[in-house]
Amino acid sequence: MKQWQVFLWGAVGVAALIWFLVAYAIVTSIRRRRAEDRDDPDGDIPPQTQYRTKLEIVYTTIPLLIVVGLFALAMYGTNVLDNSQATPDLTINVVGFQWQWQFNYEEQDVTVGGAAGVMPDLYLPVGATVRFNLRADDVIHSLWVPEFLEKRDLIPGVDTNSIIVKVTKPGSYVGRCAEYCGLNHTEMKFNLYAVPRDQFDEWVRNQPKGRPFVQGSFTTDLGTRSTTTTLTPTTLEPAPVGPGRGVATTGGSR
Amino acid sequence: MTLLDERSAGETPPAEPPPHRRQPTGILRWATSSDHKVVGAAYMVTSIGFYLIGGLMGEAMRAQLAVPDNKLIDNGAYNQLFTLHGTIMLLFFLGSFAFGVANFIIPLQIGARDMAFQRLNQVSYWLYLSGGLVVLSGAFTENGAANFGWFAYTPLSDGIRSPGVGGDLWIAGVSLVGVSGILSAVNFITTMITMRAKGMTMFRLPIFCWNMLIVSVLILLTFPVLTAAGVMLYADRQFGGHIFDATVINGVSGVPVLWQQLFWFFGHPEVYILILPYFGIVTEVISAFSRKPVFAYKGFVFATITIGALSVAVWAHHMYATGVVLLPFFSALTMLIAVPTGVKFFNWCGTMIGGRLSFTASMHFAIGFLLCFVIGGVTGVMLASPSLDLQLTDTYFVVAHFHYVLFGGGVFALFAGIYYWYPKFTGKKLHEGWGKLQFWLQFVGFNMTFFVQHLLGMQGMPRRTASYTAADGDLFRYLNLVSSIGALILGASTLPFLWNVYRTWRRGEVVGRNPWDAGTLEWWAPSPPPIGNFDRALPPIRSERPVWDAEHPGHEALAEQRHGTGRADGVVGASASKGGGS
Ligand code: HEM
Ligand SMILES: [Cu+2]
Ligand SMILES: [Cu+2]
Repeated sequence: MKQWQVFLWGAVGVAALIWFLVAYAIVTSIRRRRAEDRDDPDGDIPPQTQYRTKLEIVYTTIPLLIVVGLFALAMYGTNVLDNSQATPDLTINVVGFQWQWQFNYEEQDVTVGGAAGVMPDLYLPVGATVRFNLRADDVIHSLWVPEFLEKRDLIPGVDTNSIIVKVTKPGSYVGRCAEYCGLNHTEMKFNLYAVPRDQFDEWVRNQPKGRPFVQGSFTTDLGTRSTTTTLTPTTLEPAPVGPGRGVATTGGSR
Repeated sequence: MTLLDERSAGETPPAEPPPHRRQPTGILRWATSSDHKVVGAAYMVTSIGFYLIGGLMGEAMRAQLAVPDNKLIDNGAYNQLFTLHGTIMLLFFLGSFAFGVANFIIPLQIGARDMAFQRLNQVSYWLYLSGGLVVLSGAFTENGAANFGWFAYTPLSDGIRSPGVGGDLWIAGVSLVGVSGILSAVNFITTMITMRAKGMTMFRLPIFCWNMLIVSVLILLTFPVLTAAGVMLYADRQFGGHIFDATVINGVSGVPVLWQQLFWFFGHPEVYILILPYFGIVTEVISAFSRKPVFAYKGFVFATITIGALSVAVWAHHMYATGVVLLPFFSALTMLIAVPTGVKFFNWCGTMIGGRLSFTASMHFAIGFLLCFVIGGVTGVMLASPSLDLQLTDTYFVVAHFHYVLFGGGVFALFAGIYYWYPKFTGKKLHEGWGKLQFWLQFVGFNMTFFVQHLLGMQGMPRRTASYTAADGDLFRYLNLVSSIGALILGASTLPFLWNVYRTWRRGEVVGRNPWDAGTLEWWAPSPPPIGNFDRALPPIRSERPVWDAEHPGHEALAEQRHGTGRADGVVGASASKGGGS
């Protein structure tokens, strides 16, 4: 059973227990009411039980134990996610800005971006371990491809955030900005195509090298901060479409 | 101040207040009276007003999201809507309504004539009302209302990214309600510490009072941080400050994440400030309609204190995805909160089990609270695990989670409280039938709206998105449609309530002091209580249910393990007069 399933079924179980206890209280009360002594004005008063210390100890201790167990599991899962030790085959520098993404393939010297109304296309080779270095310069964004099973913020002034994913399945996916970042946050998306290695290589070969990447402007000073527009990186033409595109199907892989 | 005199006023009838020459009535009374009941009612009516406004905004957003690629509301307007909706619901509705109940009920429950600081109480109310109007007024400015979300993350909320007066008005309004909350908290604490009637020891304080006490302490710990952070943000926006942005000046820079630390240091305890009063209300309601004392009263109090203590040390669970916080620490403490919360569920169930339940409208809402809030609780534990949260945070799963807590917990308990105390507030009972109709519409509508949002979140729908596209698939389309239809039903549930209030005002059933045969001191006073509250000597206070003890001698709470007989010895059959009630 996967970790999230343990949590999910645990949650369902606890909710079911409370629903059961409430239902039990209702049913037994209705039953007892039928057996009431109607001549006694106080005949409907149930036993005024208030304290059952042993029971209290039990229902405090058991949740405590469950929580300790869940915590251990959570820490285990978090360590698996945080596989920053893994050596990546591919390093991609990601910059998010209002309201676009730019991806820079470090070793390949290839940069892709989007344009108004056009989502950038990110190609990844299946089987590779990919490291995304996450940066932003204007406001906070968050990189999220649901299939990555995690997201991480891009924060101005924080240059250390990254995530590492292993691409296992070919397909086309949609990546989004998950941290609200202003007017067109909703439209801040990109396409992700996971393609076989040879198609990826061909796609890289067809890309122009050395296009400007916004990273150069990272150390900002007051001058470049003072207006919104100076922060907008050079908008790139949408990446020329390589043969890899044929792998993509419409509508995502969900 | 005459605090010390009032304290001993316990067992003698309080003197009649000097007859006023002319008591103002209507709107003038509401605007000028410092009587705790009038201030309390003003709080309650005003916050229901904000609830209706915020609710309409929620409906508008659901209308926009009902179908893919909808053009009903554009991005800019949608962003303002969720910012205002969140801000109003959290800061100007749920918490403020609880303050209203507390203002009305606390002095009655502790056998006092009024709050400790009556004028201050009025000041808090006016600060609160003006704060709300100031935030809303942003909608009428050129650039519209604030649109940076209710937690106003920097640097998005600074002067460069969000120019416009709307943002400044938001800061001003939030600071006003912050100051108002601090004043109220001081007032509640002073009242409960110094003005309890003779015999009302701390462990005989009704649970609602206890919870408001812990809430007040939390407010004093956290609201100043919010107000201070607000001032800093204002400095960034207006005076060229760089506290919360990453601009490098002479080699040093501000820190955007600092805002998140400060905000959530307030923001997480805030959700307990919002929910603990409603725990208190539900506890009173369940005890009254089960005809039993609160099960494990002391355990309940300790659980509340534990929740309060833990809640100030978990704020960074909102920041897992920032990558700059210590995950194990915040994860562990967050999960620990589940323990005292779970204990409370057992208290509530333990109170009901073996009880003689009466299924009034109020009890319907209390049971609805139990059934819905538990779902918000267990999804909270899921989100406490960083490995799950990194996937689920900022998705509709979180939207579902917090609506289950705030609506399924808060609003259901709120209506339980309204139906329970309405006779005390006004001397008339709300109609039970309309109340139950409201409950069923609300229960069905609520679960329909928000349950499917868990699935949407797991399917990959991020929160705060103004639209989605047909390419996002059929699941998005159908689940969103279900959610929007649910929201319509949920919205419709308000109508029977408003009608009920109206018809009760015209021709509601007039009731006596204690229509529910409940146990706490407010039911000893006439309905509605006159100025000065009590018109006769208080009963002896020997437990947290003095009225019950007085009206049902021989049915005091049983000592440990003495259950099963239903009777304490000796007084079998003695039935006391049911003091003036029903
Ligand atoms: C009438 C019933 C309600 C409906 C239909 C409703 C609907 C919504 C919708 C559509 C959103 C925006 C989700 C998004 O785009 O991310 C939202 C957000 C929110 N709602 Fe509600 N809601 C209702 C009641 C409440 C109540 C009673 C509360 C609290 C007491 C509440 C608190 C919030 C908060 C805090 C947010 C987040 C705002 C933000 O992201 O800044 N809602 N609600
Ligand atoms: Cu964004
Ligand atoms: Cu929190």
